Amino acid sequence: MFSPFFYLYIGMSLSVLTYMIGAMIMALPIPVYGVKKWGPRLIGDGIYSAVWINIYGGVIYLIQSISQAIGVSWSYFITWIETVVSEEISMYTFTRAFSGLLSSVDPSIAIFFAPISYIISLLTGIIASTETFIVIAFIINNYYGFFIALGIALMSIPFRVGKGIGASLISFSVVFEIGLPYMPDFLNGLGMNPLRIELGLPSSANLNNGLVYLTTVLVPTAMTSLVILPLVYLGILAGLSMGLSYAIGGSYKLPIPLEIF
Amino acid sequence: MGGAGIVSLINTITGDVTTAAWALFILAWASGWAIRGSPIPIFKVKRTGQDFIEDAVLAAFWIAIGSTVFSFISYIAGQV
Repeated sequence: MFSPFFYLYIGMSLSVLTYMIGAMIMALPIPVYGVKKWGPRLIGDGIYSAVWINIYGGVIYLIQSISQAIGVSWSYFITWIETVVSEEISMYTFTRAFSGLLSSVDPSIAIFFAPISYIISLLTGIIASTETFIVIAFIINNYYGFFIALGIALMSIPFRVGKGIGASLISFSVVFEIGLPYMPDFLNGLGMNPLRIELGLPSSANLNNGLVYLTTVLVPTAMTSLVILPLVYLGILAGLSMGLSYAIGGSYKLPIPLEIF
Repeated sequence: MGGAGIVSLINTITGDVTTAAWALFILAWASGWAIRGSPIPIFKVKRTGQDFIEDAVLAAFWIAIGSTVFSFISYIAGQV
C-alpha cells in the first residue's frame, strides 16, 4: 500500500473526476455567478493535477540532479549525524562519570561542581535535538517519493479540499530531500561543524580556569554548533519549503510543526 | 483489495458525473433556446437564455475534449 504509483493512480482518477465535475458545473442552467465560477476553476484544477501526476518522474529526477549538482550525499550525512550523536553521548557519559566520581570522593566537594548538573541537562537536550534531526532525516530520505505522490493525490481532490496540504507535502519533500544533507557543509562554511571545531585548552590546569573554560568556550560552542545553527538551517529550509508550497498550491503550510524545537 | 475499490469507486462516480453533465448540457441547451425564443420582450431574460446556450456549448466542448484526452491517457497508461 506504500507504493507511490498507487497514489498517482488514485490521483489520476480524482483529477478526471475534478475535471468532469467542472464541466458539469459549466453546463448547469443556473445563472448564479458564485456557482458558475467553479466550472472553469475545477477544469483548471483537474488539468493542473493531471500535469503534476505526469511530471512525477521528472520531479524525482530533478531532485536527484540538483542533489548531484550541489554535491550532497545522504550516506555521508547519515554517517556525519550519527558520529555527532555518538560524540554527544560520549561527552554525556564522561560528564556523568566525572560528576559521580567527584561526589564519591567527598559529598561536601560536590557542591562546588553544581554547574555540572546544568551541563548534564544541557547535553540531554542537545542529544534529543540531534536525534530529532535523525528521525526527520530518515523519514524524508525513505519516504520522499511516497510523500510527493500522496501530495499530488491530495491536490487532485475536487473543490480544492487538499490543495494546501498536498502542495506543502510536495514542497517539503523536495526541499528537505535536497537541502537536509547539505547541513554539514552549511556548518562547515560557518566554521561550526561540530566534528571539526578546534577548541584549544584552558591556559592552566586549575579548577577556576576549568570552570571558566567550560562556561565561556565549551558550552556556548556546543550550543551554537549543535542546536542553534542546525535550527537556523532548519528554519531556512522551512522558509524555502513554504515559498515553494505557495508557488505550487497557494498556501504557506508545512506538514510538520517546527515549533517542537 | 481496498485500494482498487477506491479507484473503481472514483471511476464509477466519474462515469455518473459525465452522464449527468451530458444530461445537463441537453437541459441547458433546450432551456436556453426556450428562454431565448420565448415571446417575452425583456432583454435581460433573453440574455440569460443566450448565456445558457453559450455555457452549454462550451461545457459540451470541454466534456468531449476531457473524455477523449483522459481515456486516451488511460489507454496509453494501460499499454505500458
